[in-house]
Amino acid sequence: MARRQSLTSEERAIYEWQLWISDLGVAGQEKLKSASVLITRVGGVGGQAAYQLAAAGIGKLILAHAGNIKSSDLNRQILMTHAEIGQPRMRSIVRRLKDLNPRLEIDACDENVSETNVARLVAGADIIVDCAPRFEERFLLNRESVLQQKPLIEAAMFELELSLTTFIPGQTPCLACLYPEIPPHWRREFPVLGAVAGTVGCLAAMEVIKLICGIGQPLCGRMLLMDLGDMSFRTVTLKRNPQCAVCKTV
Amino acid sequence: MDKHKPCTEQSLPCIQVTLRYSGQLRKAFGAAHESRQVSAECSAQALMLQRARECGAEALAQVLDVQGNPRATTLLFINGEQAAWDQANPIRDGDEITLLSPLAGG
Repeated sequence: MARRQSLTSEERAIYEWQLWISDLGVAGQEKLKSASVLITRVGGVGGQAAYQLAAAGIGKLILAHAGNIKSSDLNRQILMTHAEIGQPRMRSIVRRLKDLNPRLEIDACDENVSETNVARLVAGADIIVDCAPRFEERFLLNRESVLQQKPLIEAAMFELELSLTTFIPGQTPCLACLYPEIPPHWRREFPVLGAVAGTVGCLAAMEVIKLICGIGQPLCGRMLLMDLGDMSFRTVTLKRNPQCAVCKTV
Repeated sequence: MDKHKPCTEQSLPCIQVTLRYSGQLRKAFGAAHESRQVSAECSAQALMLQRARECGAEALAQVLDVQGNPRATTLLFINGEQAAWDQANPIRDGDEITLLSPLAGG
């Protein structure tokens, strides 16, 4: 993390209510201001995570998301607007985040994560939030998080369910421990409701805040499973795979 | 998996367990959860494979690969603890067994 930056008087006023939170305080807020978080992609899940982190006073967001806004984005991708259908998603994302927090530094990449950009994107971040809809992208981020020893928060959803876990290289399982190959039945397009995407996005932002500020108990080695249909919340324990092709030597 | 004893409800003594299905498995198994009476000697793997066979081709394809081995990408949990497909996983009365298929974001 970059050298801790002190708060301005304007920031002390904006974050006054969260500065009252036990264990967060000015020190925690300064850590948030000094931190850089990579979020990919910035749609239903990642858009909400980015919005909450911008509101919380994160210092820098590195954002990766390709393409133009489609009408089918608008049920869940809260950083997109109807007026901008057909326009670049990243332009809308940056504008909406800056409207909320003009102090926020944004490194905007209008590409999805790929072999050619993943190392650079991860290198600039303290923490990664993985909101990609394709496991090919998720595996790239996972490999790079292990190589660069960066925490990786995995946020996911399907229909009315969501899952969330935090991987710490060398301490917890990684994504390849859980899924050693591309899951054959997962499809790029899947049923989901915006409120489900937004819920897991908020929870992912909480994981980021806890890791940066050193408060609470992040989901390291545990996976939160929520069914918003019957409102059942469960946490399961994950195991490292000693033969994992990605993290066995870490 | 053949080394495990069948989990028929007629086998005695019987135990009661709860089976949970997450993600795409819910549609394949036709339920989010169910309660079953099974043989006390059956394993978690054998029970889930038997249920997959009973539920049809879609459930079986989610749980077994083309070689007939359990899919590494379908996760098995017993009472919230991840369990390995290739290890003995005895079950007890009241246990909760969860199958989780991978989810992604968007």
